[in-house]
This record gives sequence, C-alpha cells and structure tokens, in this order.
Amino acid sequence: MTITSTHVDVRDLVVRYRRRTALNGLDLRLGAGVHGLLGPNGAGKTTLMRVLATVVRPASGGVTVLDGDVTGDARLRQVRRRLGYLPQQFGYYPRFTVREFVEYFAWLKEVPRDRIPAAVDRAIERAGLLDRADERLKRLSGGMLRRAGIAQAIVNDPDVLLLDEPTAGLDPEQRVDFRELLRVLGVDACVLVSTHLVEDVAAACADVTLLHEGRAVFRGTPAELAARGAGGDGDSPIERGYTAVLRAARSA
Amino acid sequence: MGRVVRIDVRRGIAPLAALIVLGVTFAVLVTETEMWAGRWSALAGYLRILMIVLVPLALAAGAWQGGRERRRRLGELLATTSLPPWRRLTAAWAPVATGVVGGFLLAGGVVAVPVALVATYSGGGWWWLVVVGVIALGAAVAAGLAIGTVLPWRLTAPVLGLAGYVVMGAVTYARDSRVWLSPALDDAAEASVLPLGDHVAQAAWFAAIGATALAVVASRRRWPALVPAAVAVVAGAVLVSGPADRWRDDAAAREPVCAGTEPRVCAGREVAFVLDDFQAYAGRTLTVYAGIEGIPDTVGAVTAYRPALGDDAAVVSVRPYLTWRGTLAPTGEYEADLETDLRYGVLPNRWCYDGEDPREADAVWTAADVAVRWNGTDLVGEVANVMDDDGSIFWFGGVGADPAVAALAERLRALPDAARYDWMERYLVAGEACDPAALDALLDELR
Amino acid sequence: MIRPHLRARYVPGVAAGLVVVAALAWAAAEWLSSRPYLDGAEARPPVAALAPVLAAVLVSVTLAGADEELERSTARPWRAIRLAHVLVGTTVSAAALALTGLWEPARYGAYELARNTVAAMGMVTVATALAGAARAWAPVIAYTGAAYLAAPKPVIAGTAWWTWPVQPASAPGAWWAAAAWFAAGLVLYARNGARPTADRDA
Repeated sequence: MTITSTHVDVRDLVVRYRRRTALNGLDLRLGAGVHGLLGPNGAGKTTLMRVLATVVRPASGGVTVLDGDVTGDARLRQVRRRLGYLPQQFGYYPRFTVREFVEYFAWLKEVPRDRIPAAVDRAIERAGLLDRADERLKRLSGGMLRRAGIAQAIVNDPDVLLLDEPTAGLDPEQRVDFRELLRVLGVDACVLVSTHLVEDVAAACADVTLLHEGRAVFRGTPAELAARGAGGDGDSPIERGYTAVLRAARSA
Repeated sequence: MGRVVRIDVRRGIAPLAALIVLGVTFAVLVTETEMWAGRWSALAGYLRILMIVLVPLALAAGAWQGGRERRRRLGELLATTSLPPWRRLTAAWAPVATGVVGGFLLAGGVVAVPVALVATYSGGGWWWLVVVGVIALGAAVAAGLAIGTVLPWRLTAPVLGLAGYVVMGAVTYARDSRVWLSPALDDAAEASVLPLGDHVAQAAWFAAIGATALAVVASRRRWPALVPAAVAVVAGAVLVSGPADRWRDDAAAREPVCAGTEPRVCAGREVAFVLDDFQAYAGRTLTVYAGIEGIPDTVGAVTAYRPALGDDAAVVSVRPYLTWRGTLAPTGEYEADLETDLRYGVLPNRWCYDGEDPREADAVWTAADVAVRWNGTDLVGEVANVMDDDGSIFWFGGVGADPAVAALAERLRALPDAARYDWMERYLVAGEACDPAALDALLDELR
Repeated sequence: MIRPHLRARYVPGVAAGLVVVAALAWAAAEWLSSRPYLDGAEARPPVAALAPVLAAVLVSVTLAGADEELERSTARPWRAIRLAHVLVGTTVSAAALALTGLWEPARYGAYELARNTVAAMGMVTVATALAGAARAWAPVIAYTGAAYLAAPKPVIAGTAWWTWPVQPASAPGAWWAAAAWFAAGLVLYARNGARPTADRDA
C-alpha cells in the first residue's frame, strides 16, 4: 500500500450533462478515513462519485486521485488498480456465484494472480457473505447483493473506495456491521460514502461533506453538522443540522 | 485469464451456444448421412456446407455476449477497472468461441467415429477445411461480439443471426470467385483438394476479420485495428482475384479400386469401402442381363464423381443408399431402389438425347424402359438416380411402368430366346450411339 | 388504457419493424425471382422460410413486460389478453408478409409466408412460455436454419412434419405442423405467460 497524504484532490470541478450542470465549481480534498457525502437528490453526489471513479470526464477543473490526474489518460490504469467502486445501480451476472463474481473483478483490477484466491476470500468475508460464497447471485436477496457489490469493491484493497448508497437494502443489523467495516477500511484508505441515511454518516464518518446544487455547502465533522441544527427539522441532531444547512443554502 | 474464461464457460451462454450448435450440426449430419458416410473429404466438406447455418448462430451468440455488459448494467463498473479493454473483450470472446467451436467439433467428432471405422482413404488435406471452418466460427463470434457491444439491444443477436443467413445465402448466389469470401461451401467437392494457398488465404481472411472486429471495440484509438484490417483487405483481394472454381481432383482418392468378377466392381479409392456390398448387389441384380453380348462387365460405384474407369464401364450412383456405417441399403431417399439403378445403370444412357423432337426423345426413353424390363421382371421403387456423362447425378421419376411400355416389354419377353438376345444386343449398339431412328425401328419390331 | 400497455410492450417499434421486414421480404423475393438462372417464383423458398422467422422474432419482443410478476399481480384478465395478443400479433404479421407474396401466392408466396408465420409464431410462443421472451428467438432461428439445410431436395411431402419451412402450400403436412406449433404456443403462452426472467441471461 502506498502512503499518500491526499487521496482525492478536487479543484473547481465543473461537470455538465448536456445543458444541465451537475457539479459547479466543487473543491474537495480528502485523505485517509471515512468521509460522508450528503445532499438532496440531484445535488451531484453520484456525479462526483462517477468523476472520481474515472467514468465521467469533467468539463473543467482538476481532479487528482491518488496523485494521478484522472482528467487525462496517462495515469488512469495505475489509479484504477487502486480504486474500489460500488455504483448506485449495481449490475451483476446472475448465474455467477459470489466467489466467481468477486474473482472476476479481482482479475479486472489486476490483482496479482497468486494473490487472487486469498483476496477473494478476504473480501467476501469482510462483506459478511462467506456462508453464501458459492451461491449464485440470482438467488441472493437485495441486501446480500449489495454486500456482494461491496466485496467486489474491496477485493483489491483499494486506497480510494467509492460507495454510492452502500447501505440501501441492508437490514439494521447489517448496517451496524457495515459501519464497523467502514471504520476498519478507513484506517488506511480514503472511503467516500454517499448516502441519504444521515445516521450512517453520524455513526461511521470522520467528516461530512454536504452538496447542494453542485457545490459543497458544508464540510466538517458530524458533530459540527449537528451543532448547526438550530432552525432545522428532523428527529435527530444531525438531521436537524442537515436540513438547517440546506435551508440556509437555498435562501442564500 | 484462464480461470475467468473457465468461469464464464460454465456460467455464461457458452453451454447454451454449444448445445444449439451441437444440436443443429448433429441433426443436419444425421438427416444427410449419405453426404458424408465413410469419406473424410465429404465429411469435411459437409461441415463447411453447414457453415451457412453455424456462422449466423455464432454471430448471434457473440452479439448476445457483447450486449451482456450493458444489459446487465455493468458497463460503468467495468469501465472503472484497470485491465485493458482488449483483455476483457478477449475474455468475453473466448468462452463463447469455446462453446460454439466445442459444439461443432463434438458433433463432427461423433460422426467421425463411423467414418474412421470404414474409411479407405484419408489423404487430400481435408482437415484444412475443418481448421478454416473453426477459424471462421471464432471470427464470427468476434464479429458478433463487436456488433453486440456497439448495439447492445435485445434484438441485435437475432437480427444479426438472420442477417447472417441472408448474407451467407446471397453469397452462394454469386457465381463467381466472391464465393470464396464465405466460409460456407455451396456444394461439397468430394475427393477434391483445394490448393493450400486458398486455405491459408481464407484462414487469414476470417482471422483478420475477427481480429479487426475485436480491435475496433477494444480501443478508443483506431490504429490497433488497422493492421488486421489491412491483412483482411489483402487476403480478401487474394481470394476474389482467383478463378471461381478452385477444386482440383484428388487423383489418389479417385484412383479406381476394383474387386470381383461378373461383374467386376470398381470404386474410387475413397469410396472403396462399399465394394463388398456393391459386389453383392450387383452380382445378384445383373444376372438379369446374363448372356447378352455387350453388357458392360465392369460397374463402378460412384458418389459424386466418375472415377477413372474405361468408357465401356457402367457407373451407378450409390450415394442415396449409403448408410451412416458406410454400408449400402437396398432403398434410398425418394423410394429409390438400388436394383433399379443398377439395371438402368448398365444399359445405355436413357437421357443421351439432347435434341428438340419430342417423338425422338420418347423413342430413346421408351426403348430404354423396354430394355430394362427385357426378361419381364418388374422394377421396384418410384424413381431412379443416375450419373450423367459429365459426372452430375440426377433423379427421374415415373419408373413405375407405363402401360404402353409394359405391353412392349411383354412382347419382347414373348419372343424366342435367340430373337430376344438379338434385340437386346442391337438395342445396346443403337442406345450407345443414341440413334433415335434406330431405336424407333427396334420398338417398331415389337409394335 | 390500452395505449400505455402497447407502448410498454414496444408495439409501435415492432409494428414499424414488421413494415421493414415486409418490405425486405418483398425486395428479396423480387430479386430472387428475377434472377435469370433461377426459376422465377420457384426461387423464393429462402424468403418464405426466413421472413416469417424475422417477423416472429420481432413480435416476441412484445410477449413479456418489463416485470412479468409485477404485471400479473394486477387485476387484469391476463389469459384473455395474452390469447388476444398472440392472435392479433400473428394475424397482423402473417397478413403483412402475405401481402408481399400475393402476386404469385401458391408457389412460395402468400400461402407459404402466412403458414410459416403461424408456425414460427408457434415456436416463439412455446419458447417464450418455457424460457422467457428474451431468449425466445434462439430455437426458431436455429431450427429454421437446420431444417432448411437438412430438408431433402427436392422437397418431399413425407417429411413435411419437420421440413415445413421449405414445403410448398400443397403439402398438407406442413399446414398441420404449423397448426400444431401454433396451438401448442397459444395454449402454453395463454395459460402460463412468458417465463419470468430474473435470470434472463448470464
């Protein structure tokens, strides 16, 4: 594992889909640790994930992932080897078993051949699917599929792990386990978790970025977000902080 | 990559593709056993005729595989992985190609067993046809994969498959050297060889097409596709620049092998496995002509070409009677009967007349139909099949006696023996000369 | 009420596709029957065999919704709808193709096109009921190709039960085969519908 101080460095990022501007001058620097990404639908969370995952090219701005510029081609392959990504819509081959599917991704991410079996077992175990490892994906429930997706994302021990709505479909117990996994992964790697479930962020993330209309309107710890809660709606301090910050951003 | 391909061979469409290709290949081979029984060159050629169905199926299977990533919404996730796309694409191609080629070779291998047991000739480089066919199937999978990747719709695979039929079919209508661009043979050329250069040019043409297809979709750059595309253009140009007919007779395969006496039976070396059976049928059947001066004493058993026998040898097409084991069955397709064919086969050609006058044609036919019944024994079967002088085989129906023919035959039979033999001997001379006037005169003697 | 259903099943696109198929069938038949070295209308068996398969494969797209189980949970008389669906789809595609062969209907023209469309629709609906709409194209394409190649030439009536794609209209066996496939497809599909395809492909 390479020691990197800044895993993700985004400067003045602009992304447009046709005429709609999805990200509008976003600045963001992320190091090791678990980072939460919050924001209403359409705020640009998934777009940011896709830019960092190297599948969307920005219209302007600089994006450096693991010291590699991902707006060009030169270092893409090196960056991608150290990347883990769970997209919001997770596709899969239904007749593959969990193990086969994760193995396929280990190969795609160029995990050295002799390390693949151990890496696959470890990823499946960390995702909590070891007892279903030889089950075909089409037989898995939604939550278990999500965990298979997490397993493929972490099979190469990524230095940057991008998880778009990873807890959707997980039951409460699984979410508790998943937060524990996030904390472990966040020790060395930069883990960016996009979610609508603010309590996941409160429980697992070292810091939070709140996006609104393609810009970061808040950056701080979950406690700092909760402290902004005056005047917001919600059932928990952090929910109140979330709505209050958004309300302020809208009126600005 | 090996493990990943093995996983996909088990879990992907490879087993289904293999099953369909195996089923189609095997079903066609089993319904047309006489086309390949006992002869390697005929089996290899027939496997290439089958390409007209198998290549479209390979295209469809490739297209189905190519559309999989997008159908399964995996495109984005795969795009974030570091492996160069060409390796991912190759790993997607290999399982389908394995399935298609595996099904093809398995079906071919199964029918190769009875061929191997009886084959009397194995030279002629026939296996080149199989090798090039395998390359063509692999290339078709690659082309389908590329098209399916670019157009990942559900209908891409079936429409591409059907378009493949249409294009392959249309190429067979081109009666010129362009047919060599197609992997499908229009007609199997038994005991013939294709020059090595043509095999190599075809192999290069198909392989280059497949490589070009993969290269085009594997890279955003264009230059990796240029090299195989250039090879394809050169190989294609070489293929279309030659003559339309490139088959050379395989003299060793056609060299006559003979056995027995009364009659002496012969066949090309590659067909020699039928000689024992043929000897038995011919010996039994041709006793009806015993004692007639001028009846050929050598009868050749032929399948698709005339072996180098003397002009006075009769030939009989045995292909309709070939069983899968290389033996001869007494009856064949269309209710044909080997005995009938033998009895017509040793007499002068019933279709020698190529003039315009229907009365003259009728005299030639009627004389032949009377002569074949000369001792009153009736013919079996509905049709007969014969080989023309130029080596083409054709069928004719209406063997069942026409009352007028039956009446004439009855008169012939009623003649004293000496007169009967004399009539037949004069018929053989007139029939061989294909002289309508003389034949009509012979018939008049009976009217 | 019916228009959203038709749109959801891609009926407008498929109908446009059928028009294209009919035009192609007409053009191909025209080309074949005008070749000097072929014998006119008798040269059309490839069209009579393949065009119906293409039409049936197109119609197969409409045979299943995006989520079969969700659809079936709704309060609609699905059996009757499916029955009507197959009947209308077959009639329309058979009529479209038959129109292209009317100028010489009896020698690999309108009659054979209509009969083969009915038979191909039967195979497609059987396959849809057993393996799902997304895969329904494979058997009919493989079968027609194999039968076309393996059928004895010249065709004989005795094998009509399996060589129906290349039989002339005068062979009753081919009509019976078409009717049998169609009946089997109609019954299976109307009763069970398309097989739900969570595992559509792998």
